[in-house]
Amino acid sequence: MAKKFYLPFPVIIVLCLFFVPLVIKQSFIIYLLSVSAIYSIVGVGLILLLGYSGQISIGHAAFLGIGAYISALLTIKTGLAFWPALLLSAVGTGVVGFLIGLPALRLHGHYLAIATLGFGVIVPQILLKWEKLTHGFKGLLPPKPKLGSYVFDTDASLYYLNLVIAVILVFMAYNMLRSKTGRALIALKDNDLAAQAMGINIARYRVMAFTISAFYAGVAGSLYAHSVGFISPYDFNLWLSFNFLAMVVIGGLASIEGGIYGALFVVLVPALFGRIKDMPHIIFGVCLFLVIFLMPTGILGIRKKLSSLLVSFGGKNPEVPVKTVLRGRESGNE
Amino acid sequence: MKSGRTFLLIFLSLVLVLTAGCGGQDGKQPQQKKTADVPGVTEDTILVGSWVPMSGPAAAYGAAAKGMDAYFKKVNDEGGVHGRKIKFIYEDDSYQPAKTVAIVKRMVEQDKVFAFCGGLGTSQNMAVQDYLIQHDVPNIAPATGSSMIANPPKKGWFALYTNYYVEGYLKTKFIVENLKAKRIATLVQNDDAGKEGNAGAKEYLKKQNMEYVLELPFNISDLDFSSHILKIKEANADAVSIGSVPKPIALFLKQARDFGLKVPIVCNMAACSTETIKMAGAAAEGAYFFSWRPLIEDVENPKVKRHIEIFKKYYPGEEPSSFTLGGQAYAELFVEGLKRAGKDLTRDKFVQALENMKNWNDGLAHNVTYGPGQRQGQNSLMVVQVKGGKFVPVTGYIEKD
Repeated sequence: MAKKFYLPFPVIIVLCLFFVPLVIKQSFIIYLLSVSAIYSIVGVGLILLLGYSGQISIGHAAFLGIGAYISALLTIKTGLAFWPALLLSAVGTGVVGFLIGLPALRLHGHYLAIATLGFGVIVPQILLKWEKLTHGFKGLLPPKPKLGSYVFDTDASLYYLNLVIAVILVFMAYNMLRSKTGRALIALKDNDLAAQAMGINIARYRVMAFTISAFYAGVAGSLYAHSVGFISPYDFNLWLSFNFLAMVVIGGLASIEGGIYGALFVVLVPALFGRIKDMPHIIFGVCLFLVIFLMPTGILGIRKKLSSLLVSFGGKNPEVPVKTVLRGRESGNE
Repeated sequence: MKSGRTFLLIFLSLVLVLTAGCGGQDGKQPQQKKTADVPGVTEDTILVGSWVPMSGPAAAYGAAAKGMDAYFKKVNDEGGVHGRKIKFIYEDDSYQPAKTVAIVKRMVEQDKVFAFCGGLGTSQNMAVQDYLIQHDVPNIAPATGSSMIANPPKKGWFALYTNYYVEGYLKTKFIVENLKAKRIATLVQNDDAGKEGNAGAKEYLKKQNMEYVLELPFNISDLDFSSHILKIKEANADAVSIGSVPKPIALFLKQARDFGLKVPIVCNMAACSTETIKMAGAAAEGAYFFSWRPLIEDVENPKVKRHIEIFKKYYPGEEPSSFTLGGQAYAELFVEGLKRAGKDLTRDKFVQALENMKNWNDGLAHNVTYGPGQRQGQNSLMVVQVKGGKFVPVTGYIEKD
C-alpha cells in the first residue's frame, strides 16, 4: 500500500516546484527558495542523525563549512570542475563525519551535545588560521557551477540545480529509510538495548548516521559556496548551527519531510517579516515559541493532523511513526 | 495522497504570502513620475537601501541603521535634497551573508533602490560585491574596516572610515614618533581586524628598519593574558600595541596593572568606548586609543552634540551610541554626495560627485577625499588617552603618509 501511494505525489510536488521560476519573476524569491533547497539537504541529513539515530549535533554548520571550503578550494586552486568537486566535498565531509561519529559512540545526550558544540567552534577557527590554504578572513570567491559550456549564473538556473540535487538526496534518504538500515536506525533510537538484543550493531549504525548526515551537509556546503558566491570562516558560526537545529525542530523530527518544512520556515519567514521595522526577530522568535509550545511535533505535526494520515516510510506498522514523533521530541529536548 | 497536497498547500501559501507582500509595492511604482528612468529616483523621492544585523552574534551593531535613519529624517524635515525626500529601507540579515544576498536582490530588483548606504559586515559586502557591480548600484560607506572594500577600487564603492590596515600603520607610527618607543611588543587578534592591522603596522616598521621585539597572537574570547604579559616583561618592551574589542582590552589593562607592567599600552579604535573604561576602572588610566571620528562620550563637541539632538528627536527614549554616531557619518556622506550630484540625479553623476570630493570635513568623518582609483575616504585617526576616567585628546588627526 505504501509503495503504491507513495511515489506519484512527490513527483507532482517536484513538478510544481519546477514551474515556480516561470510564475514568480522576483529573483530574490527564487534565490530564497534556492537557499531553502540547500538548507533542506542539511535538514534532511540532520533529521537522519537526530530524528532517526537519536544523536544530537550542535555544530552542524561546521560540516556545511567543510563542504563549502573543500568544493571552493578544489575549484579555485586545482581548477577542478564543479561536479567532481561537489562529489569530493560530499565524500570528504562524510569522512569528517565518520571521524566525529567514532568518539560520539561513547557520548550521549548532553555530553554529545557539548562535543559537537566544540566541533562547531573549532572548525571556523581552523578555517581562519589555516591561512595558506583558506585565505583566512579574506574568504574565497567560488566560481559559478558549469555543465559543459552552460554556466549556472542566474538565480533560476541555480535554483534548478539546487532543487534537482535536493530532490535526488531526499529520494535517496526515503529509500534508505525503507531499507534494513532505516529500520535499524529507528529500532536503535527507540531502545538501543532492545535493538542490540535483536542483533543490530549499534556502533556501526550510529557512526553510519553521522557519516551520512555529514555527507548531506557536505553536498549542501558545496552548493552553498557556489550559489552564494562568497564564503568566509565567519559564515559557518554557531549561530547558523543553532538555526539548523531550530529548523529541524520546527519542521518536525519524526520524518525527513520535516527538514524540508523547517528549511522553508527558517529561510522564508524571516524574509517575510524583514520589512517590519525593529520587529523581524521578535516575530520570528514568537513563531518559534508558538511552534515549540503548541506544536511540539513541528510543522510536520500540523501536516499530520490536517491529513490525519501517517507517513508511510516504514510501511507495514503504523505504530512506528507515532512513536518516532514522540521520541523525536524527546531527543530534541535532550 | 493528502500528504502531498498539504505539502503543496504549505509551500504555496508561503510563496503566495511572500509575493503578495511584494505585489502591492510593484503596483504603486508606475504611478509616480520617474526622472529619466534612474532606479529609485522620482520627482520627489530617492530610495536608499541598507542591511544590518538586528539579531545574531553582531546584533548590537544594528543600531547604526537607526543613526542613518535619524539623519535622513532630519534631512527630509529640512526639505530633503534638491526637493527630493530620502526614503530609507533596511533589513535584518542576522549577519548571515546568504541572507544579505536575498535582501540586496530584493531591494535592487523589486524596490529598485538608487544605492546602498552603510551595509554592515565584511563577508556580507563581499557576498554582494559582484551582484552590485553587475547592476551598477553604488555602495556608499560599507560599515567595515576591511581594506578589501576600497582595494582594488570599484566604481560605485566608497569606503568611508579608516581601514584596519591604515589603523595599524598609524598606530605604530604614533608609538615610534610620539612615544619614542624602540622595543615594541604587539598582541595580534586572530581575525581580519587583527591580521590586517598587523600588516599595516609592519609596513611602517619596515620603512623605519624596525621590528617587533615580540609578537603574540590571542583570541577575542581570551580571558587570561598573564602569560602574554610575563613574556612582554621578559622581552623588556617599552611599548605595547594591542587591538581588540572592549572586553579583552579591559581585561588586558587590568592584568597588566596587576603584574606591574608599566610601559605605555596603545589600543585600537574598536575598543575606544566608555565600556572599556568602565570595565577596566583605574587600570585604564594612561592607555592610548584611536578614533576616526569624535567620540560619543565627548558631549561638548558640537558635532557630537548635534548627533545626540538629532537622534533623540527621531528616536526618543533610545540612547545614542557609538554605533548610531557611526551610522550618521555614513548617511552624511551619502547626503553630501546627493547634494553635489545636483538636481538631475543619476548614478553616474552621484559617483562622479563623490569621486571629486576633496578634504571634506562637514560631517563626522575627517578629511574625506576620493579620486579616480581612490575609494578609501578617510586615512587619518586621532589619538586619545584615558585621564581621570575620561578620554582626552592627545593629538589631532594624524594622516598616513
